Amino acid sequence: MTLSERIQELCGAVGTPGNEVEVRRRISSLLPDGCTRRVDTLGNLLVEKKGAKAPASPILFSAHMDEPGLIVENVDPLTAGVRFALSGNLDTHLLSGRKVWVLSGTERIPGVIGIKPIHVLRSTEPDEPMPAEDLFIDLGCMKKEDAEKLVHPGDAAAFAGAVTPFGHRMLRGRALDSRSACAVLLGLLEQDLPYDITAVFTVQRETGSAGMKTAAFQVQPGAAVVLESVPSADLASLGAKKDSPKLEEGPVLSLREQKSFYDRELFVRCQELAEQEKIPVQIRSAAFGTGNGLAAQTAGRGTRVLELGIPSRYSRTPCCVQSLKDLDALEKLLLPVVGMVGDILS
Amino acid sequence: MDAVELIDILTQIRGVSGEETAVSERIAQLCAPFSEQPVRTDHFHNVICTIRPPKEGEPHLLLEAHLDEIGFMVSSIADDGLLRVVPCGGVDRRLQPASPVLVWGKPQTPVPGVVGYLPPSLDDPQHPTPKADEMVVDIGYSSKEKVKTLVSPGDRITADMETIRLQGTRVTGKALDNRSGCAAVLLAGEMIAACRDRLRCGVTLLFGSMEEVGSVGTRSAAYDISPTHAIAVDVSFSATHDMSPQKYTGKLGDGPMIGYSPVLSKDLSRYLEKQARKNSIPCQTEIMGGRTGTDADAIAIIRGGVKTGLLSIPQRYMHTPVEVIDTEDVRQTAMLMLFYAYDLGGGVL
Repeated sequence: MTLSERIQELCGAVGTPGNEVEVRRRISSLLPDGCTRRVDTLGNLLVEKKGAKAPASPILFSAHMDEPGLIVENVDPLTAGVRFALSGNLDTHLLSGRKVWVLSGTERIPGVIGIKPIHVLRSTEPDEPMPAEDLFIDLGCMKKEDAEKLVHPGDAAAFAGAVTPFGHRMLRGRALDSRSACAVLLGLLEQDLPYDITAVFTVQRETGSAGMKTAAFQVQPGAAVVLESVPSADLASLGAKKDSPKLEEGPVLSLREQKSFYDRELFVRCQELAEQEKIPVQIRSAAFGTGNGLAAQTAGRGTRVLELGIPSRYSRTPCCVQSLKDLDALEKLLLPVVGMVGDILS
Repeated sequence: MDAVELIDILTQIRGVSGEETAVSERIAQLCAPFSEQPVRTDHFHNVICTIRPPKEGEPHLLLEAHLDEIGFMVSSIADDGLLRVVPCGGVDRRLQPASPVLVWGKPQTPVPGVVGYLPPSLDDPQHPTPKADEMVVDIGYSSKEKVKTLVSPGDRITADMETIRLQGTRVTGKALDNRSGCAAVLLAGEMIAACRDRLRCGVTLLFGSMEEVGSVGTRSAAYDISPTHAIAVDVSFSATHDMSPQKYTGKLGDGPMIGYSPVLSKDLSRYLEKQARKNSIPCQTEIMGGRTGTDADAIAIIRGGVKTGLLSIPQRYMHTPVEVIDTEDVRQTAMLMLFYAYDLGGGVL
């Protein structure tokens, strides 16, 4: 399976925070032989892979399985529409006019999030997106009872769709920025490694990194390499930001996230390594938001963190865009990173 | 023909206002089996299908639905490879950011793209949605030269959305406005043609272009056809949670909405209502104080005036990629037109 195929396979799974079963199952089925695997209390998938040597302290690699999505609240008695809350960081610009799947058991019930047509807006009403609390998922049910037979409060819902190749070696689609890193990490596990590693596919990144916090506590790593997607505003026509990571210019080495700074030595050594290996990388010195990086850094007694990012256009939307050039480069960079981190720890 | 299957076929074909060739050709194929004369397609991409030409002194009934859909048109290619676009018809800008689209450019297969968007974390958190004519489309190439080999100004863009079934007989997808109307007219045409020998009026079907930009196609074609009576079929608002249920009374599954408006023939509308009741076809009414906002407005004032009725298929979320209709309403709309065609000119069922 190519990296692109792995990504498409993983993005086909629905996995909102706390509902990562389907993603975990697909990742498990793609794990190469010779790994030991374990699912912990919260649902993290911890995979140990033996390398040539044991490092002085464990090396953790992580990618998160969950995507931001929706959670069912109740059914509106008047319209039989399904009320929902947001599960993770989604903006209201992106909710209306989308097809969704409600996960009921193992079944996916199709629905849509509609909006009052522009034709019937009063002249005093702004044609701005509606807040989530004013929106419903329409399953096509006539009666409240019909909808209640299909879905239950607490059911997960997510944007429907798929990831497909387009443009010049690019991918577009659902859950891409959440899950492409999982596919890259799977690629690393298929190779012969210089040191043992623990690869952790975490849950609940989008709602506060609960998975990373608990996984890092269990592994107690000497160093953690956290894979994340990094929002990119690289297009001049959209008002490119000057510090923004750009698509097709390689993985992103982050100096920091919003609330913390990462390990300087790991950063510098990784930069040198990329130069040796002739893999282009970009540097990020400004960041919004906080995620698995800080969670790994501060779990238990704390650990040293190297964050490697994948530049993502339209990040956290139902139609994210990433470049296979960047993803291939990241996959290529990870193997020497194992050696580099192992050497630093010894 | 089956309503669900027809709707599936028709919604997946492109036909943005002013560039309706593909949908026009497909509809012409679909009516060919029951057209009495060769199906005509004119320079506007209107499709005209004669079920039975009127005999001397007989009324001539026109059944019409517009075949175009809203979308975007490429206006220019920016240096970073993005497409600058302008809307064709009433595009809802609120839904566009980061939505998947198909650009119908030079290659045989459409070029996939995404409507460009700066997420709030990268911009002002309160940032307003871009205006419909400030939108850009990203097709994943950074080279302007490469993009030029794929796309040119004037190419149309549709939502990339497949049609799927929801619960019961409801379906969702793009362009249900007004391919559901086209489906109803096709179904009616097929049924009427099956008993054309017993008709006492002429019947012509018209699938009109450029309705979304002002009924441009139908105006000319209807002039040419010169009917005495007409029924236009379009979609109309079914109330949703965010609309006043007192004002918007249309309901999915409750049958066609029979329109009343100054420009429509009150006699014809009343007759349709009576006919529906007699034949147990569910129906509802739609009251409009002025223009109907459909091709009926144009048809009614062709030449010296045409007695015109309007049947609307109730629809939720109009002009979004997730419009919802009930296919049962499409079937019932077709039935009602069949009964009307029978009666017009004195024929009995």
